[in-house]
Amino acid sequence: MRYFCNVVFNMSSEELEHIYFQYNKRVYNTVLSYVQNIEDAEEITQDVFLEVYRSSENFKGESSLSTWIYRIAINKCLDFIKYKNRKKRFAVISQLFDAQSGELVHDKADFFHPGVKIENKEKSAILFKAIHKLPKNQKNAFILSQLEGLSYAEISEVMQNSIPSVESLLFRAKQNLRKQLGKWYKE
Amino acid sequence: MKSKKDYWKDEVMQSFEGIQQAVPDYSLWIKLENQLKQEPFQIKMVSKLKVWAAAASIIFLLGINIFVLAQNNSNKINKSEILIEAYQLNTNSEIQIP
Repeated sequence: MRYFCNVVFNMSSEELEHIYFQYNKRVYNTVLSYVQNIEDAEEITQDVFLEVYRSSENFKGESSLSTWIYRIAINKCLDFIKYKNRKKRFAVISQLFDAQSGELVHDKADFFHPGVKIENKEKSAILFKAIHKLPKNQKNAFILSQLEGLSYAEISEVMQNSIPSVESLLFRAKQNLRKQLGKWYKE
Repeated sequence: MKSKKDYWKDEVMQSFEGIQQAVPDYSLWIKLENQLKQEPFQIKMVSKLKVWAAAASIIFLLGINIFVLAQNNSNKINKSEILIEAYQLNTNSEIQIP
């Protein structure tokens, strides 16, 4: 823990490089699960590491470095989603509909995660669409558990919640996802 | 017994099984490195506690100064009143001719 404190305080670009290559995959994958778009995920990943560099002095070593980085990543994603939703609302007001299909121009396209098995591509795209509709906390718990493979203890540390509340969030997330999927089932 | 719909839901819920981590392009690091070079200085964050502590000390110092000034003024008035009373001075500006 002390080592991390020393590394992060008054960070140099070399130290950031070390941290970047240690955590870039985890950050990128988490961000990708939230924003479900490769270009946006790259931009936010870049922002996350810039924030790590800029606010390194704020890291007190009370939690692990990975927990701190995960928190920054999740906050950046939620801010980005809020910003996107605002833009979407504006689009609805301005009635920006596609002339041919009549659909919203800013409507969410299917997301195909590059790491999903080919046979699961279609189904995972549906699941990503359902995840997108989950409430914030349930989404956090589900992504960190199912996609990042974090333990309940790690998730509770990142979300600053107790382990039982993480368990309950995950249970409700799965229930809500099944409910949402039911609406999209085609006979 | 499970319906077709339930089986389909199970399959969708399990579609993340065996998912591989996506790897960000190396160019992302190059972009980040370039952005770091453009940073003119490292932004230092000041905690809210420090800001409030500074504001409180300024208010405290201002308060003390105002209190001391007010005390001095009232002392001056008191001294002149004591002198007038002790020597029975006439504070009336009109000259009385006997």
